[in-house]
Amino acid sequence: MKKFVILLFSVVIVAGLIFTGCAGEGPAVPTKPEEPTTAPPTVPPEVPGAEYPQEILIGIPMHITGPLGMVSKGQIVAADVALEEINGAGGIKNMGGAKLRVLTPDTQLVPDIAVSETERLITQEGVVVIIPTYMHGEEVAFTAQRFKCPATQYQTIMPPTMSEEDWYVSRVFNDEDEDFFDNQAAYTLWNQEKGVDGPHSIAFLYGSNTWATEASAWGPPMFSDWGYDVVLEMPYMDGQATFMPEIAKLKAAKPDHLILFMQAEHPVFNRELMEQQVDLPYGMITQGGENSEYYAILPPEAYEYQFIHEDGDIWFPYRCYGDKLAQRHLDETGLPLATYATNIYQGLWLIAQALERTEYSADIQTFRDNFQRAYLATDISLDNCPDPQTCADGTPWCPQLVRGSPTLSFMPSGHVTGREGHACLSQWRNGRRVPMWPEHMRPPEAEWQDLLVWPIPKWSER
Amino acid sequence: MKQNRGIEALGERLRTRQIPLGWVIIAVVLILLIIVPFAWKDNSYYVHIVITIFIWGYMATAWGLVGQSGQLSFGHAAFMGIGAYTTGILYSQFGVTPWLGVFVAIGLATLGGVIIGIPTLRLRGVYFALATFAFGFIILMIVKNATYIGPVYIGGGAFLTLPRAGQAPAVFQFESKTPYYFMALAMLAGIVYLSHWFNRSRMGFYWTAIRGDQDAAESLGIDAAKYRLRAFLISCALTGLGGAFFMQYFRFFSPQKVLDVSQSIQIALIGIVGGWQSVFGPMIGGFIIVPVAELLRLNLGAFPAMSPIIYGIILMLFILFMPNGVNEPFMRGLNWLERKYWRPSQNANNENNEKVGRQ
Amino acid sequence: MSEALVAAVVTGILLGGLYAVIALGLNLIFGIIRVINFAHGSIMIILMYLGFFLWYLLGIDPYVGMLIVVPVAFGFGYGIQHVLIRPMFKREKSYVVEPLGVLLLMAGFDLVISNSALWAFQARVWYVYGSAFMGSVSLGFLHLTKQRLIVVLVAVLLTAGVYWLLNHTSLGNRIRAVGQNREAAAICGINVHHIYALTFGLGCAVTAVGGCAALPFMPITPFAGMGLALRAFVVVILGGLGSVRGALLAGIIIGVVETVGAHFTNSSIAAIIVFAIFLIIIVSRPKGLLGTIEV
Repeated sequence: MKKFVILLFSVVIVAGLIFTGCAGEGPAVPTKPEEPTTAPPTVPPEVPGAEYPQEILIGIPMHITGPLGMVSKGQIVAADVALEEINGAGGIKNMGGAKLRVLTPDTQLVPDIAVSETERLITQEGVVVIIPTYMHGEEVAFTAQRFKCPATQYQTIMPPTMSEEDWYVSRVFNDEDEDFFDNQAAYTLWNQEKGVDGPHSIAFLYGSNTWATEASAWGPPMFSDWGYDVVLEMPYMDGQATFMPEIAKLKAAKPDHLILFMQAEHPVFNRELMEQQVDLPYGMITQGGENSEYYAILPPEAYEYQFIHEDGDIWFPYRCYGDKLAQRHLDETGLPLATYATNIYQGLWLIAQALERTEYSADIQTFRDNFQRAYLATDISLDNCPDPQTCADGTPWCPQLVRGSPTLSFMPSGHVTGREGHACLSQWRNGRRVPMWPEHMRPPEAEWQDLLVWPIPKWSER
Repeated sequence: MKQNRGIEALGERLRTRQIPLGWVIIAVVLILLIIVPFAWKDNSYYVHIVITIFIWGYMATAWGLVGQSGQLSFGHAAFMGIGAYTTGILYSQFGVTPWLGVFVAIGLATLGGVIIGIPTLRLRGVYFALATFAFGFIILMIVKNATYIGPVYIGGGAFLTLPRAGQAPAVFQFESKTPYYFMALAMLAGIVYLSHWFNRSRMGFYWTAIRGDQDAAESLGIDAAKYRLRAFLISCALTGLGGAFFMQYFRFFSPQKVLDVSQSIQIALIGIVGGWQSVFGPMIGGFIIVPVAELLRLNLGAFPAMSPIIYGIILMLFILFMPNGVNEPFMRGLNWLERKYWRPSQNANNENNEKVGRQ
Repeated sequence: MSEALVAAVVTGILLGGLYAVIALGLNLIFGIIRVINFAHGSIMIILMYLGFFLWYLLGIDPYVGMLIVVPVAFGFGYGIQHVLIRPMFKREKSYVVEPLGVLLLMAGFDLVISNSALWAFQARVWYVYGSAFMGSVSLGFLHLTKQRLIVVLVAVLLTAGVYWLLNHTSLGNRIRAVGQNREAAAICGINVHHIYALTFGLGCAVTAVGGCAALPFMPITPFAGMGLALRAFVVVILGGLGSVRGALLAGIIIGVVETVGAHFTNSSIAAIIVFAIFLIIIVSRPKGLLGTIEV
């Protein structure tokens, strides 16, 4: 009996393997669609009496628990604001006024869970589109592509992943390497304004997560090409409790400028740097330390004069953000508006305008394919805004363009075209973050422009 | 051993209940499991859960082989990771198909086992566990820290993906989940059978002796170090194989996913809940823990920290009250069922030894 | 380079002081009760949370808060031993071999404690600032943080204190007796399990002192204890089980190895070196440098 059972199931399993392995062809991967290159796609007419859904679901896996929980809180506020506006204005009018609803499962900052939650959203919950957010965006986008669900990516992806074969993944963001062009442009501008000859030696300090490792790989070669001397490249482990060894190395190498890829470790690092009185003539800039919470628990001297590379949209047009998003963000999270939140706000509005041009289908996969076609055909500018609004002071604004770029369209690979107004370099001055680059980001009050400090004073002179 | 004399004889023997209950149950369960992917074809999420059960059951059983020789390894994720990274890198960077890459993976995992196994030959109990833990940690740190080892891109803390090949059985990639399902099922069944086979072999005999009392066994002339090392190496090799499959299925891997301390603890937890020194125990543990974990995650999404807390409580409760896992009561229950309902008239001893096996 | 190297060594000594204090507590538990307290890091973090909230909500400086936290730590440790670990001993077959089950039990406990902290306090990084002794002392090109110096001072004082306790008091005699041979000690009329619980409590209390001394400059997150506890394990093994002075010495050594290693390579590789040392010691000389207890 024993032998029989073993024989039986071995045969069945092997047969099953062969059968399903060879015969299964799976659903066809859609090839690059023929996109209307000239005329924009026409809005499909609302068919009277057709059955439209009540709700359209959008999935946003978020890391609600974990050190980056404040980021997700802000994103949820932004999602609420956007949905109130979109649904309040009548939802998706070409689908019978279907309302948008957002599902936000918690990934606990664990990539494994991010992936399985994404899978669950797609296969169980039937979301039409996924917005990967901040951390683990790549894993989520990867999973969405695998399950043929559109993903509108707002975060760094390694360029090889971004190709025409990843038809379902689009990206409303720029490569990390482009951030360094911003740095270089800023340093050049400031040198001109202040009549100095900027940093010549640069040190890098980067964490162990995906974003930091990849982004920091781009930097040193680029800066070398620009003629800087890269004197230090220091990795550290995320969550490291002390940075004394790294600071000791900084002391020894004496770079002019330090570029950080650091997030939650700022409270420790800044404080130890201050205690050790390490002088960096041209200061330091953090490419990831945008979260104001990190600085709230530090004495102001520990972060004065520090530069921050952040996304410029929170300043543009900042007056408008005030009455729409910034105040509510501040009220509900206790923190100033951050780009993670504006990403979600813009993301939902972009999805809404694409849905208006999507032909509905009761078959979820067809619906998703139609949506992605419509989304990739997005072509918006300030003059051609699908849902123009006005700020309290009369300034016109377009919710689909809040990231600061005056136009938005996609290349065939799904990558957004145009990167104007993407980033902003700001400096902490007297407990306030003041945007210092690009020039049009600087708030108009004249005295702020005089606040730029470049180079920065030594510790002993402060 | 009874001769197989065809279907009628089989039916006859079923009717007169000469076949141990355990085998019947196994046959029924197998048939059900074979039907599952076809019955749930539209629900790939559930199929995914069952595949996960198989994978973890497999890992725990491989880990349990070390347990059979009386040791507790606390860093087994290292070998899983070595297997995963090896096949993944060989395929994504050198184009070697996983069907071949898996052999390299097994080789490297075994090598890892040798590196840690030989120096720790004389260590006992807790110190062995600590040493394996340290080893697992070191491997994790090495991988997390290395972006390149020679020409090979390891990726440090970043995650690596397998290039998508669509439906390509030649490189072990499939569009649907069903082939993975059957492969995982085959692997699980295979390793449980292997574990059972080892258990009843001469070496398994020695393992039981060493497990019971190492000094006594050695005084009888059994070379404890040699047999424990063998158990360890076999376990490492099989864990490496499992890691290779793991990676082929999930198609992306990062240190956190395959090498983290929590993975080692997960394997140990499943093994302990099931019964870490038994043959079927770890697999049973997999069938219990994985669904529980998934249910926890779905229902307690609002309290995400709850899931590890419950894990920890389960582990503590089992250590305190049922350190040999559910295997013992499970087998006893099976035995009782058999005696009461299946073959109440016969003396239960003869056949049962074959089915129940050793604790 | 030599300037930076000297700075690294000094930093290592400061860092090692913290490791030594934690290892001291662990050594007591490990050396006397022969229990691998896998949950040591989490217990310490919970106690540090207590110290933190005493500061955050009541404004009590951590150095003063020690007076509250340490007795709580003692009680907590006593309770853990009494409730969780004692039943294991009753079941253990071999009376001398360290219980393997307790390792797993404490691993589970560690999961529970650290994730309860996560649940209760979220994963925010909490940080004390503005406590006493801020600022640094300048010695030429060296800037020594005063608070870290205090930790080293605490380590030395505690080591001396525990050494005195163990060798020159009757309680210490009883503790050491139980640590050497618990059956014989029981025959002599010593209440073994009470002594065990006392020792566990003492171990937790000692670690709590170190934790409170570190609180002014250390950020606490629910999982911050794991890294420290792991290094403390290495220190305990290196210094030798049962040797209080060994823990201090080994703590300093490991601290220096880590910072000097990070100086020449980077922090991650330094951590690997530390664990490699751990493996080498366990394998070749489990007794450690000054250990008195046979493994």
